Amino acid sequence: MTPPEFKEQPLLLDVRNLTIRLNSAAGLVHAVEDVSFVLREGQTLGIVGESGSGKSVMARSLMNLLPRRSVAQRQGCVVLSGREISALSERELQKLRGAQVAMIFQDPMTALNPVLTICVQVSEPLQQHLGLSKQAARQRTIELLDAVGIPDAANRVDQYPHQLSGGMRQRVVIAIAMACDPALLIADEPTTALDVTVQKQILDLLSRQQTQRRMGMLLITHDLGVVASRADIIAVMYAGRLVELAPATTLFGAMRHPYTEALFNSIPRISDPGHTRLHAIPGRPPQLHNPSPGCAFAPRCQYAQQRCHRETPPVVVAESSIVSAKPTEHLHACFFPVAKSASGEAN
Amino acid sequence: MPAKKRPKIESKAQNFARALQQVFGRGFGPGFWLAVFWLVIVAFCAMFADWLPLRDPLDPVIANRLDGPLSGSLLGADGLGRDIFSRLVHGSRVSVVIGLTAVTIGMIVGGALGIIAGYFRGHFERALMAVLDVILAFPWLVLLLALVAFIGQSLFAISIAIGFLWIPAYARVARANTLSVVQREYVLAAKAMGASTTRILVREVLPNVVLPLLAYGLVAMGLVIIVESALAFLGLSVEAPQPTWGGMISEGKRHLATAVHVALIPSITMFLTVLSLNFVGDRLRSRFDVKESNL
Amino acid sequence: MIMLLRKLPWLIGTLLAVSFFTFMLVGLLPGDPAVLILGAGVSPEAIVALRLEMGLDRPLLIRYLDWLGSALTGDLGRSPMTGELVMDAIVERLPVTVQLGLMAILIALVLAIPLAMMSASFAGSKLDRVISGIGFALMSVPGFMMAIFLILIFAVTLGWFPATGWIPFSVSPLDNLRNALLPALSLAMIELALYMRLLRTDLIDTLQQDYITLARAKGMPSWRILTRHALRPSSFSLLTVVGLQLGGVISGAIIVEEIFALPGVGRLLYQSILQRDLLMVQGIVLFIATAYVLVNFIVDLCYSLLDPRVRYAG
Repeated sequence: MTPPEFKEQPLLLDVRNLTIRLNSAAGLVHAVEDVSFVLREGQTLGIVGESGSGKSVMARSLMNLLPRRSVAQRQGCVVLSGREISALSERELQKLRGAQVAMIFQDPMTALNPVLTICVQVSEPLQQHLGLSKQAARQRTIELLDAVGIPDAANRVDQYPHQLSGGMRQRVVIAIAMACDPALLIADEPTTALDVTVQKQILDLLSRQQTQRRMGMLLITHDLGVVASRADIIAVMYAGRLVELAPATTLFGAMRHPYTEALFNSIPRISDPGHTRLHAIPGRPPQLHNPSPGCAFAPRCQYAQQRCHRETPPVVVAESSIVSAKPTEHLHACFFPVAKSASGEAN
Repeated sequence: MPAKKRPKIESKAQNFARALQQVFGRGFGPGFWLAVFWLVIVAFCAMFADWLPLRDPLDPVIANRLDGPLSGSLLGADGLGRDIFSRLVHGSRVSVVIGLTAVTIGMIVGGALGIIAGYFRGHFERALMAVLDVILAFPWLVLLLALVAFIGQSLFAISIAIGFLWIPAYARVARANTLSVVQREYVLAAKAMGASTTRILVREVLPNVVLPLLAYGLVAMGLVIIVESALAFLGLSVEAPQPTWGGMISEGKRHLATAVHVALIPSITMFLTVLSLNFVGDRLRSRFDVKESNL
Repeated sequence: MIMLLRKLPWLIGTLLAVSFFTFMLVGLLPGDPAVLILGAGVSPEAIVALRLEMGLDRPLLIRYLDWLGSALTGDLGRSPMTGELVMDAIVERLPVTVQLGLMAILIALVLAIPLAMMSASFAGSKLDRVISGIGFALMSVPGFMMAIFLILIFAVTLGWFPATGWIPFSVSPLDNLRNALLPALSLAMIELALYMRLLRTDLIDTLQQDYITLARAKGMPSWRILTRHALRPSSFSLLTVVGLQLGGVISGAIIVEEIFALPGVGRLLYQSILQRDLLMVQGIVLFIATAYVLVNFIVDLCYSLLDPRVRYAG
């Protein structure tokens, strides 16, 4: 795991009030609403949320990778290593993508171009950003494939994606991401489409790469288990908003937002007696077309009160209740925060 | 928790009305209706040509030879002094009749063959596909020229010849659609409930395959008109003295240097007609497809 | 290689069927060949004698096999009308038609690919609608109409290009191209519209794939993504369509050669049909249909070789 003191590390990523509204057949979709967070060098920020929470849209919007036509409105600013990048031209952004910031996606089966060899796809950023010659790039490619654990890299390099398994393809994707030694890695559900055994291997690989290169990582997933052990800070998103953000150690000890609590409660435990009913969160994820006023989670929240249906709770710093971890920021967006720990005890 | 609402049960008529509204409710745009308007005019001309107050299309008045538009007659006269406007209106009859007949033949015969092949598979399908491969190995004009030489050059004959040309296209479309429909669950459900083959074909397969076929029909009609006019241009469509658009263009070619309108006017007319057919057909097709995906 | 062998029976079967169909089709054409040659006013005995000499009394199958056998050795007979050897007549005119066809397809591709790329990458924009609109309009203009327009504008009005005639490449390359341009353009326009439409749809589909987003995330410039990452997967269906469209190109060539008075195979076919020169018609149709089947077969093979998804499947 990573060392606890991060206040001293320089800011890698500073996202402020990011808001994204998308065009759709049914109208304007409020995909991401007023999201702010920071990430420091070497840190891992885990972003958790169910489908439709806006986490993927947000991840792609950081480097402006959403399709041009889809984005109706984009507000807020994104600062990368002290440089404001939200207003950069496409050309400028292309220089950063792959070089400073790398991204890996969910589905390894479709992430690689089926008609280009592995060598071409990995060498491309090497040639584009680092100016390597074809030969040098090929050599480096083989080294990279080796580093991510692909056996017989020297021969595999000339194969096509469909000749590799899903796990190996994801490794290739990681190799592509690592190629130019980026400062930030955005991993959008990197293991969702993989078998459980392969998942652990991939996550370990990412961890190792991160430690070796002192990379910051944005780990996006809907899987709490993944985030619990691998992230330093955890952010919980719901309906496009940030509802809770806390260091991993603190979060499990002191959840504040009812949604976070509900998420934890929905995880079945081995210690539960047999035939225990699964705790599902009642209701459905909200429609993002015409967001009603008030807290987005209120319709499903068991603690909801009048105020929750009327006003949208802002993101505030949690009152320092009996919190055992170091006083790193714990944010949440709730008028009536709960005060529970992961084991269910109130504190 | 909000009280449970009782679902509204609509009558069949209400359902149908709502479905219609979904298809035609969202505006089609001015271009669409303009195209429809043009097509209606052409159809009108084709039907009522004989009763309209026009000059005799076959009457050569040498004195008027190659007169330009608006210098006496509405659109001028051709190389033999015949009234162009009148010939245009009478010529529309050929295009419309052949267009409708050929497409209908292609749709019914080709559609039937395609549906049978797609549903029953096996030897019939393989044989059909092989035959289609052979027919499609011949460039269409070559096939058409041979057919026309064989069947003759009456309105009926040309329609059949061109219709024959459309059978492979329709057979393929029908087969592809049938293959996809047959795999869907409602067909399996019908089979599981013991429905006879005929019943399945008529009640499940046919209605779903017919829609794409009809949508293709308008575009196909545009293509048929192009094919017929190509034949007419070569002098191998309906025989003179019956005016045809393609024939008029062919005659007009001779006078390109001196009297452009003789070739230009039938060209523009034909272009507008085919364009309208393509446009309307394309819009309808995309509208129906969208509806299908909503279902 | 194994793929080739597996498809070979289909090829031979199709070619045989095509040849038989050709023979039947032409054989069904009205008009007794002997009568056509000798003329109507000749005595019945002379007709019978000629029929015997031409072997027209033998059963259909025998006549077919005889004809096919000769055809395989390159002998398609001698035209009773013009006295030429059919094969010679075809070979003499083939370069014209081939040049016309190739030029048309080339022009269409050269224009269609960049236009489709622009259309697809800006899908939904004004530029896209304009380009698509032009393509749509072009599809409604048949080859002969396009030819007339082009003649009107460039030959009659502007006088830049001749309206008829042909000068072989060997005599004068520049004049050859001058003569070939308008006919090739007439053919190219419809192909252009078709290729553009197909490629645009395919590209839009490809551009929505995950691997394109990944390429963007790698920081690849937009034009590189279009050409290297998007065009390649889409080019395969374009190749297939080009092959399938050959039938349309040949049909168009017949008309265009007639309009521009080009000494090509298409024009020969048309005139032979008019003159009821059945042997010539038979030979030409066999030649054309065989070429079409062969070309599509080769395209099919190339597809298998070039598209790695197919090549390494299984």
